[in-house]
Amino acid sequence: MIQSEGSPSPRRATLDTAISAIALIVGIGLLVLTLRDQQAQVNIAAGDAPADLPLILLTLWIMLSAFNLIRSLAPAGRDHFEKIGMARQSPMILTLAATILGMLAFGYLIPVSVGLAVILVLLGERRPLIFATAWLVLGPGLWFLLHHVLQIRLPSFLSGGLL
Amino acid sequence: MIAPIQDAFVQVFTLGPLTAILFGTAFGIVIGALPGLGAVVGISICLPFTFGMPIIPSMSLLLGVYCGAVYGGSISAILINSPGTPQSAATTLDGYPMAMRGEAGLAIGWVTMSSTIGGLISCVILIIGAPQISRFATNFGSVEIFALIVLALTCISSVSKGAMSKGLLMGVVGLMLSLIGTDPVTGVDRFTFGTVFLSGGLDLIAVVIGVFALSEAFTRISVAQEPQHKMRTSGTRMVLPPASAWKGRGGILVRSSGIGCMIGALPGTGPATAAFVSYALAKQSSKRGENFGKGEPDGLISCEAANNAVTGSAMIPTLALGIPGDVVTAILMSALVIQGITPGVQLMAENSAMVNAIFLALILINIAMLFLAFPLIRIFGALLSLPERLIMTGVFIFGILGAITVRGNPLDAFTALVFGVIAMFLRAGRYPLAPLVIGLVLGPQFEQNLRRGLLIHDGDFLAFFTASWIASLLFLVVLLVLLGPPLMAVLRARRQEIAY
Repeated sequence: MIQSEGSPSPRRATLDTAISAIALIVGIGLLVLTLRDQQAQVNIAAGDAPADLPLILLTLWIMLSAFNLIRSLAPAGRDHFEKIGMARQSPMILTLAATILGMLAFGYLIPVSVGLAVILVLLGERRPLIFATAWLVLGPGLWFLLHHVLQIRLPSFLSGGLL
Repeated sequence: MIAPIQDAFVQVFTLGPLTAILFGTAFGIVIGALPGLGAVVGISICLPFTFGMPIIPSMSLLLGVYCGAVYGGSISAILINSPGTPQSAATTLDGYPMAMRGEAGLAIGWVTMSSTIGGLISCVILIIGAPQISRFATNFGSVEIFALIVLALTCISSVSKGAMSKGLLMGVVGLMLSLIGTDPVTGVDRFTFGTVFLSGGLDLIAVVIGVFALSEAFTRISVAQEPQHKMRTSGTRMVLPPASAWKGRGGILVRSSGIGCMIGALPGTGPATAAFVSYALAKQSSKRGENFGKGEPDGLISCEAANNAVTGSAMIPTLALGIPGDVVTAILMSALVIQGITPGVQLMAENSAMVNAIFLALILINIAMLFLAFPLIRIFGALLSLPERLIMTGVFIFGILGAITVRGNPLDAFTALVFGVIAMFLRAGRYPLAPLVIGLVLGPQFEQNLRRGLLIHDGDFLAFFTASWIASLLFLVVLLVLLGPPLMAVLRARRQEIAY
């Protein structure tokens, strides 16, 4: 649990402050990067440079992030936050990331079939019939429909595209 | 005059568009009725599958999902006192008490009739209004279009949930994300970090799926929710109200539809605002105002006619000016862009047959809603009893699939996942996500018009404020939107000090 709704507490400000601080750091980082590359990006023909708009937007980004950061530190300016239970979300995010990265090597069907089973287990589906039906429909069933029936090509394991 | 209308009929009355209308509307009603999922998630999931479709079926499908979802939200609001979408929250006030009295079928009948009529009235407003605005907008040059985009982003940021500074930051981040990739003028790579994958820019659909569908699913799995219905939902049949019951209620229907049309055309508002404003006004003006909240059909008519009337009028700025007023219209606009069509000033003149076909499809969708409601209501009992975990599993799988299908690259699914995780934290921190996506959609136009304007005016930024009265007026409104709330707060504080 990252944040909790309720009476003012130091934890309530953490998320707001963290998001604002990260936004500020990213903004400054991108500004430094843009300024570094600016010299190489001058457009002699048009008189404008591709870095002009990014510089304007990044200045606004940094100003707004700094304002939000200051606001998050002031007790009166704090917003109420939704609950995030990372205990359930972290394994889900890791499973999805592994499934997607698995597709680069093994195509769509194999990683998604494995990943889908893990997702169903993580979400607490224990009834065998419902589990098997959901797995079959959302995994191989959907793949067969899109890849072979509708000819919407998904990443393949075999070069011929059969699997 | 007649030829474009004939063309529209020929384009719509074929198997593809009619199937898309029926499927899209039915899918929209189902997804709208499932609590928590709404038009945005539905359209995000469907958008990638429209990539290979011709323009009319693809727009028919997406508009069907949009209108169906706005209507569908009211079904769960009536049957299980849980609005499927935020815009149906007002429907629970009178819908659920009617259901508890054993009049669920009649409540759904009132809602269906009001939604259909509200939607049809907004179609008429769209058909009349969009060409007029588009004709006026032909005077717009780069400076005016740039000012219009700034105004749209400012309005959307200022009326979004949370602090205005957060909304503005999200708008800026969206614009920045649109700059990733190769600069179209000079060919220089920007923010690609030397990767080939980013040189083509971020895939808009992957970002939309991540920001709306995946982040919604991540947020919802943190709290295990299972259906807990207080009443039996299966076997409900829709009962249309008799003609005599409409006596004295026509005024509310027309007025609420008008309110919905007006609110829908404003950037940053939407069906939820329209429903609550209309409900409040109807409560004041209705002869049966004291019955509101106790199962009064006037309450249902006011909110449902208003929130469905938004669907047509929200398309006016999108089609006529190329400026989406909210997330749904931003996604619809991106669907047009994917098909190689740029919504905006020239669209009406150059593609009048296509625009008329979209208008006609919207009318058919509203009529289809009425007929699809009869069979769909009967299966809602089973649908609303589906475990949350199965629905969320479906959202994850369709999210991954949707992100991959556009370019066939699994890395697009990874983009969706990354944006899903970021958006989950942003949601929790009360950062509005609509300005981010609208910034991303409008980014290329924003940059193109800024650079063109600077070239025309010899790099003079001040010319953007002084080049024409339209641009000056638009920037004045931007200033008012930005400075209005803080100035009002200062004035209110002063007044309180004087009072003490």
